[in-house]
Amino acid sequence: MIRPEIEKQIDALVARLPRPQAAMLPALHLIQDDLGHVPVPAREWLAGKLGVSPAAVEAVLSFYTLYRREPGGKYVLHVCSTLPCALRGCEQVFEYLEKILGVEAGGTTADGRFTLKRAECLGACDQAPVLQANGEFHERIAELNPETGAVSFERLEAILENLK
Amino acid sequence: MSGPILLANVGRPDSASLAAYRAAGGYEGVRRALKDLQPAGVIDEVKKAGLRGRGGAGFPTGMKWGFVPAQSPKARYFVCNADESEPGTFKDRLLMERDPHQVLEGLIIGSYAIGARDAFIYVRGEFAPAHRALALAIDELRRDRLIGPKVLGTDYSLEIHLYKGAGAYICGEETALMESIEGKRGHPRLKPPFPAVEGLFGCPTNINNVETLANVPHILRRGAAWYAGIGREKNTGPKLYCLSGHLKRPGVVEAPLGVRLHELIFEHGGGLWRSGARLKAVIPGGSSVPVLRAEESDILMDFDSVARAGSLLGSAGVIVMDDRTCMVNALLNILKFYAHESCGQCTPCREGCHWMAKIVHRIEHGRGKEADIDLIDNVAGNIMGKTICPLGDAAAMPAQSFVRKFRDEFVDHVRRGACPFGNTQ
Repeated sequence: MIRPEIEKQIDALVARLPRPQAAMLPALHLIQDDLGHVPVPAREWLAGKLGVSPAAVEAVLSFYTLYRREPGGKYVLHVCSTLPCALRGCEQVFEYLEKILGVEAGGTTADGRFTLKRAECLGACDQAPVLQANGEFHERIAELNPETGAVSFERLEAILENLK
Repeated sequence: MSGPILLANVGRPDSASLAAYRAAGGYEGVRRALKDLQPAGVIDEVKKAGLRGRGGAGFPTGMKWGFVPAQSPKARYFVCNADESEPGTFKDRLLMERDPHQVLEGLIIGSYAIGARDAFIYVRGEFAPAHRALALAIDELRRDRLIGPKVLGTDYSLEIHLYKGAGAYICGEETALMESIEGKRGHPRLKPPFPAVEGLFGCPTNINNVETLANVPHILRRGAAWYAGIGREKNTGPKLYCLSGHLKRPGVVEAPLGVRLHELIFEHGGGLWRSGARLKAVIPGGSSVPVLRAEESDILMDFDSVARAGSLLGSAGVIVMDDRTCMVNALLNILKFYAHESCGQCTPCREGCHWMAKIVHRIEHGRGKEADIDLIDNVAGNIMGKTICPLGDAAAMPAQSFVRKFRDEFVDHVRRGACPFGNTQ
């Protein structure tokens, strides 16, 4: 379940931090990056490693939105939905993605390629509308014509095409 | 101010490298601090410069550093708050991605000033490129012995720990951030005790925003008097403004504190995006601050001037809205954000944010009553000042200001039984 390389990195974190529990967030990132999500046995393993109860791990895992307790798609798409992006067409982008992927917010496509999620402000408001695919930024993903309100999705189509 | 200071390096090729930063005078501030000044002397210099925190509150940085006990039996910690997530704010991300050494130099100087041997940078989980740039820059520092044991051959030693958040706006609140580093849910702590007395791991801790730290090297390099000459009285230094919304040229702009908001919008931002559109409203400091009507918006952008205009400079996230914007829909978007991000500890915020979002939702969808409009104001008033941290206020301030300043639009929605702008979301 937990590969020796990952355990070694977690041990190194525990060794250099003032308290073992302070390794919680980075350890969960390491596990999730390796396994795609944080399965139950890994949570119990980490609790033992950090000397905390399994409930303490669960509390953190369920609080932070970037941790996944269930497997998701190969690419997790986070579409920014906050005000500056909303002023530049992000709702049209989201509707378009729901339509062509055939899923609603939180859903994963039947082929397991994409999970579609809404994100809170991604801090790229000057490049709106924006999304992240597995944490990497894609900016100005659609062109909203200021005069007609029409939206062009060409760039978004090209981005999806590249995420094989 | 002639030419950019904070953004002087970002346009250069390879701007994130130690070599490029050094070629532009980088780490001379650390050299001066460690070789020529005692910690108290560094704090004094930052006090004289008048630097105020760029995270939103505008608290004097030197004074904050001075709160950390100069002698302490416990470890002292220095924390950089890089959890930038206030809607409309994207300046810290730029600094970290393109000029991480400028931030790290400020972090080293600050750590030396308060006697911290360990510094933590808490980067927002969504900022992978910023995290990568900082990790590389920290490796370069270790290799060149600018951190680690005996920095620059002095007796001062420093270790920097790079942290990544995991998706929680609340962790931008300083004590929630500390809980998060400690491996817990990001629940803000009751104050006092303040972090300078009891912060990270129960030890005296200082915490500053990314942009605040980026200012520090320039103060040490060029002197407090030079720095204090930029901007306005009690509002000194350069500032990064984030322009977004209905502008032709959105982006990060550097200008002194006290620049005219209309200069930012109509000159730097290129004016309004749609031809023939008129300015309707501006949020001057990130989505949590009171909105300004167009006719209230010709103001100076410094902490005190924006406060006098009835809003806050906050994170200087300037969100511009033209006259085709539905203010009910805009408020709904803002309230959904805060309802989602409330940590749930305090009842007024946990319940109130959701109720305000639900009420505005039904008004936007044509199912509201006129009494709902006052109800929003009432709920907001029952959140303000009644919670552990300011997240509740961050939802209540836009709610009250939108309802009070654009009341006609809320009434219009109720009377028509529909959104006059045709929004259906």
